[in-house]
Amino acid sequence: MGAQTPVSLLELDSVTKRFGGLTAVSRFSLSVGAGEIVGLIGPNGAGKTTVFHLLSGFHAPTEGAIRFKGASVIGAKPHEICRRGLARTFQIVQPFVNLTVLENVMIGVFNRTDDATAARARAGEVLDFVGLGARRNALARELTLPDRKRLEMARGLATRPELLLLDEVMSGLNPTEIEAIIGLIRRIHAQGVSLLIIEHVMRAIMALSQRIVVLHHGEKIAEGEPAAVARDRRVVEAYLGEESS
Amino acid sequence: MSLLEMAGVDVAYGDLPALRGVDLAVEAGETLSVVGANGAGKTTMLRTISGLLRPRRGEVRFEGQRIDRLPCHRVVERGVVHVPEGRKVFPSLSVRENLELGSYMRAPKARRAESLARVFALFPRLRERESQAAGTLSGGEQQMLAIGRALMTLPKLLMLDEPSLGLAPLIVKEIFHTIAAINRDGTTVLLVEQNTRQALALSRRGYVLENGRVALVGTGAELLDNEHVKRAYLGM
Repeated sequence: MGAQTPVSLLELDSVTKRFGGLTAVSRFSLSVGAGEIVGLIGPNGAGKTTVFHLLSGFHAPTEGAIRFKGASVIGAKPHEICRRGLARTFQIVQPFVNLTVLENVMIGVFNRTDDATAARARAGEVLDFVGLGARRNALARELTLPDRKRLEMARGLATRPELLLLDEVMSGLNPTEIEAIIGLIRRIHAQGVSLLIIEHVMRAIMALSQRIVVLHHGEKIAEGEPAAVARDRRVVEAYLGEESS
Repeated sequence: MSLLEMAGVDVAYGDLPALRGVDLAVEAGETLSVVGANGAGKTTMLRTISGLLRPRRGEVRFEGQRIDRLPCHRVVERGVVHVPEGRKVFPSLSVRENLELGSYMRAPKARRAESLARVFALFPRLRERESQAAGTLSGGEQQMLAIGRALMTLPKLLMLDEPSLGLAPLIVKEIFHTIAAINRDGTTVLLVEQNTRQALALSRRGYVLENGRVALVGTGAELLDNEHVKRAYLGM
């Protein structure tokens, strides 16, 4: 690797995940350096979300190694991995719909503290940061989709991650709503959080990522700077499609 | 007379108004798209046309006849079919069974074989996966199946709620190409999309919904060039 490669925060070393006869992820290697934003793209069914499940302890890999800050996460429970500083969001947002927005975020903070007063204060700060401060007392089910996506990110941020995994936080949003989320992701990054982002919104992933990794049928088919990846013939064939005039 | 008309339609969820005095006209043969922010009322509009929601005020007419008091299955019988957001295929049934469920009414049933052939011609991927459980399909394939199932009912008006949701760019292109092909074959299309640019580019006309009201109506090209649309919906 080049001289300017940052210290590796996350490393996947030849990771394979099989479900019965189906190989969802095949000999996949990836590293995310401290301070990086890495984009993970690929067709539907390519294995992107499975990678997130492996990183966050929802699944164990069939083969290969996963290290976060140098220590293996294999076999660790999701909440333990989260406490080590690796948090995730879900593509289909998963709030506690009958709790308030503030209470939803407090649950994330409780991963670090059992002091309710401190948790309330911290949750309030996080909500202000993501732009949901005014909605703190609303029930989660009353939020619009863009606000639910913000809440999902706030719940992840509340756990004070060093690495945040974002799974399609822009899907279902219109271009203006997407711009606002891009701004929020930049602010999260500016706070020193590294990011691994799954996203189909190309304009966003190209603008945000320092590096893009492309999965297809569970295998890495390309990796590099956004502009180079967008020109890669295999990526165009598998994912982007030929430019229609 | 337009194929579908909404006139002065108000819809509310409890105390919360979702549509306020909405007028809409869909002309036979066109592709019309409805764009707007999340929460603007786009899905509510489709659910009202389908008979899943009842207007508090106003009328919905299809081919000149009121349909706003009909149960959903009667609306489908008239030729109005709704492909819901998130596809909603039956995951444990096979691709073929999902498609056949689209044609259980008498007239579509009589033409089931012909319709199946048409759907498989539009979506060869579905033929390859004919006996596979729908839940094992990728997101893009499930969207194809949801559209295919709707076509099995022989609709005059096909309503699509965010067909591009969560799909990779290549699949989005395929889906939009297919929608254009379905329209060319004579089916009128009412498209609700967050993918504002592609939806308006595909459509003869578009409506912009804001806070439950129709804020703008124009040709797809006019709306794409409109300063307000550029700022509010295209992020320019």
